Amino acid sequence: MPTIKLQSSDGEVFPVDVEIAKQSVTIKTMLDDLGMEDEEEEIVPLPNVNAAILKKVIQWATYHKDDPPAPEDDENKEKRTDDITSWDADFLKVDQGTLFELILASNYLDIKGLLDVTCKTVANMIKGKTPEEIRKTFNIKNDFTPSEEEQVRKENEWCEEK
Amino acid sequence: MPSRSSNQRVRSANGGCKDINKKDIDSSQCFIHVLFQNNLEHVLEQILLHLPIKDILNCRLLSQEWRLFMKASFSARRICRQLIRPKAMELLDHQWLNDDPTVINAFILSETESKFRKVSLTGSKDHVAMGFGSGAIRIWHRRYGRSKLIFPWPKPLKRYHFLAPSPHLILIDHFLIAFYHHLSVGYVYDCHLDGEHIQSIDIAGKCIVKAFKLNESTFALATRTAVETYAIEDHRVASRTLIPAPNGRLDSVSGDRNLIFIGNAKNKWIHVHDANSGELLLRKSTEGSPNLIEFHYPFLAVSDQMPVLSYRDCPKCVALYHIDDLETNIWFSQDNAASRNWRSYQHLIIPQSWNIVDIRLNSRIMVLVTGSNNTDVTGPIHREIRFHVIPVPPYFEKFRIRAAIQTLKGRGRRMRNPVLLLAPDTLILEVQRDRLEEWNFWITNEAKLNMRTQKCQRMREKQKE
Repeated sequence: MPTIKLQSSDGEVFPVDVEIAKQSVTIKTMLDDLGMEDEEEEIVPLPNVNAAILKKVIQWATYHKDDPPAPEDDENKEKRTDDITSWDADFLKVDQGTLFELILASNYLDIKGLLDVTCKTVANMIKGKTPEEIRKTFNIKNDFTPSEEEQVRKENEWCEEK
Repeated sequence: MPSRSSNQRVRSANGGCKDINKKDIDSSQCFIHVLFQNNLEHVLEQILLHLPIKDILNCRLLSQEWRLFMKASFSARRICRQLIRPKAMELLDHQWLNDDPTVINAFILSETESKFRKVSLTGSKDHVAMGFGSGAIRIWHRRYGRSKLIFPWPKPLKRYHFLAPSPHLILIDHFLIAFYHHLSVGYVYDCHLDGEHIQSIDIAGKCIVKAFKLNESTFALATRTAVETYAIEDHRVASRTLIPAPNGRLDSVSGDRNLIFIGNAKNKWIHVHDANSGELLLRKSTEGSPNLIEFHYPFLAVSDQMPVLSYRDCPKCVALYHIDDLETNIWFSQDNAASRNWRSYQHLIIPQSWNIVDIRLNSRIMVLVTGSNNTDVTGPIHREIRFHVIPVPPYFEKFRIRAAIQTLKGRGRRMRNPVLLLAPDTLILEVQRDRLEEWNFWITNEAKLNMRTQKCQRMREKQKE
């Protein structure tokens, strides 16, 4: 199976099967546009992803290499967050910093499946929490004055069950 | 929160890359705040779309930054569609999401109107107006969907059925101006007064090529020999400036804000005028441009001082330019120095098979309309009309052009006079025989363009019901 070499921002080189690397639309486009696929020695620099994160991304892409292509977003369909597989859930048991960098990397590399699952993980960190709990989770400073906060609460009232 | 790299770069939503320094991802900062700072709101939006309405509303309570994000970027329709909740539709009427720019409307024509294939179209923030070969104009309110049929004042032009060109239309603020050059008259209607006729403009002897909006208070009327600008002052339309076409001949014209571009095919020049004073600011020759041989005038369009020209051969391409340094003296200097300010942004090579029938653009996207150009006795017939939608700089990067083009097929095998409007608030309107559709698009990052439409009911189906 043909391989390509991906170079992280800190210079580490990872040989990867082309088909696995092509889960990234960014890499796929780059290979297609530049005709690099036949040149095995060519190194694809990824200046936006460091070695630790790139290693995680490759690990995820390798596990999911046989997955069917992710379906197009259906705007009419309710999105779920309870369908994360146990493998992905274990894979994403990481600190917030790593999770954040995985989101940035999957956005940059345009890997829809990984971006989806990381976003769902963050959504689960928000779901069901009070504003104060969310602030605490994500270290958000409340800069509302009491009257402003009251105003926003009033605006939100329509959603409260009566 | 630890950072893995000292100087990581992330792709931002509005083009280019931006450096994120280690301190930006410091544990003292909410990482979602870093998403804001780096224009990665679309990622945050994707996170939020997984949440129930109540949790989304809770996010408005987190901080001022969050509240502003929810107000500015979050689509109420999207929430409603994706989070199907009985109360969700109430969101649309609620104040904080009232000006949702992503609302999609479908406007249905009456059966009588749909018979008139010659149509013209214009749009503004609140209204959409369509003119027919009968002389009639239907005007819709975009938010409320209600419509009103206006006949040319003082009475309908029944004798012009199928024969007359549809009126040239301009919507500025709440004023609708309709020019009927075969009647040598323009009518001004007030949309706030339910389409009441408030003024007539004499245009005797003028053969109109195009009427186009310049800004929120002025518009231009181009004839074969000159461009005349008009301004709305004290609820009246008044003529302001007359700009003669170069060598008395106008082959293409476009304008935006305070500039008017006039193309003369014979001597291969484009003249750029100040719309207010009429002063000639720049003459741009198209000869000598590298790799560009033939200049094809009819498809000149401009937005945000970014004119686009299409070329037919060697190679077949669309050239997108950007004019800058308007304030400098160089701009006003000799013709041969002007190219310094006429910067080529991008030459987009297009397939030889594309036959461009129209180009429109605004500050975010360019739409190339392609199709065959056969004609019969009633005018052009376009088969397999396609709309190629391409983000313009800074929304695309060179290596991404191929991926950025999104093609929409015109429905039906034959389409006469397809009409396309790129409204100021980035909406595309496509007219077909019995319907008008309002498309919505948004750019998720530098290169990705998403579009959607809502299929509307055909008139015949409606009648069956």
